[in-house]
Amino acid sequence: MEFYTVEPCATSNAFEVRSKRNARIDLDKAEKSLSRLGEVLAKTPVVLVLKREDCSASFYASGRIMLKGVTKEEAEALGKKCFAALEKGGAFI
Amino acid sequence: MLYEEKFSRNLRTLSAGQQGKVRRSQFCIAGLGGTGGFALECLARLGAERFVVFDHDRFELTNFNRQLLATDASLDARKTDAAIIRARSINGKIKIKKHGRFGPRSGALLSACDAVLDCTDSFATKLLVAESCRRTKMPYVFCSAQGTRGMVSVFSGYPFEKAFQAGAGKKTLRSCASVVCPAAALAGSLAAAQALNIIIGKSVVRAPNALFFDIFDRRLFWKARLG
Repeated sequence: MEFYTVEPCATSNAFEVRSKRNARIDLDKAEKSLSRLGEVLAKTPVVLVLKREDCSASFYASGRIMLKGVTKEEAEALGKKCFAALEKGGAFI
Repeated sequence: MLYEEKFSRNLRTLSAGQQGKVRRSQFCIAGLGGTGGFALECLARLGAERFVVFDHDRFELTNFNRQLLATDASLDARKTDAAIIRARSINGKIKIKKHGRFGPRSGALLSACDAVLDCTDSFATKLLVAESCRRTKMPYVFCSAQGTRGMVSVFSGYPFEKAFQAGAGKKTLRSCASVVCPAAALAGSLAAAQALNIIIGKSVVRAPNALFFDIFDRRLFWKARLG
């Protein structure tokens, strides 16, 4: 699945990653498929927070993924990994 | 009947005629984040019943420190939908026309409004809203908050670009900077107060003058000239 990153915040290292077809995320499946990428800090019916080294990622059921503490290049690389993991786990709906 | 009872305490301050004007007026709020949420809350509790709102975004975790409408129940929901739920929980008769991002063609949607509150956090969008208001001769209430500071000013003819020296390559506003809740609440509430004053014919802080505040500053409030 194709994805794109946007830079929502000019003064913080936060990036939004979304699929081009605006797919929603099944967070139950996401929890399983993302556990290899980092530690799942919290999960509610609408958000899953993943901690990974010096950065964190919030996955929203609406399909939005917010990456914090990363550069644009790192966001693109991490976005790719997250998308691959979510796709492999069938988490996109 | 319910309306009269709910907003009866306004009548110790507003006349029945002024309350009626607030009720009948249509307010546009562009941006429903830190300042916009509080502006909507104030206007709804002032008894306003007609709104046009713009926001394309959804609530996320980093909004919780300052955005009134950001709750566990509204997390990941569209800000416009959360605004409708909140406003109607105050007054079920409130009518809100919701729109996504304020764009170049959004100006046409302002024609039926009586005041526009610009609660967006992007300078480019503020320029767009200000220009749309100037074209339609709509009173434009500017507000912003950053850190512990904030400002509000009403534009009704004075060029927004001149006030902020736009076009000179000077970036005067930064989006998504740290903002604490009292600053967002103050800026949003002051914007609502200016909109109220426009509707009932009281004086406003008119550009090029602006009202500034800093909750860490001993003065707390002061006026200064923009541009």
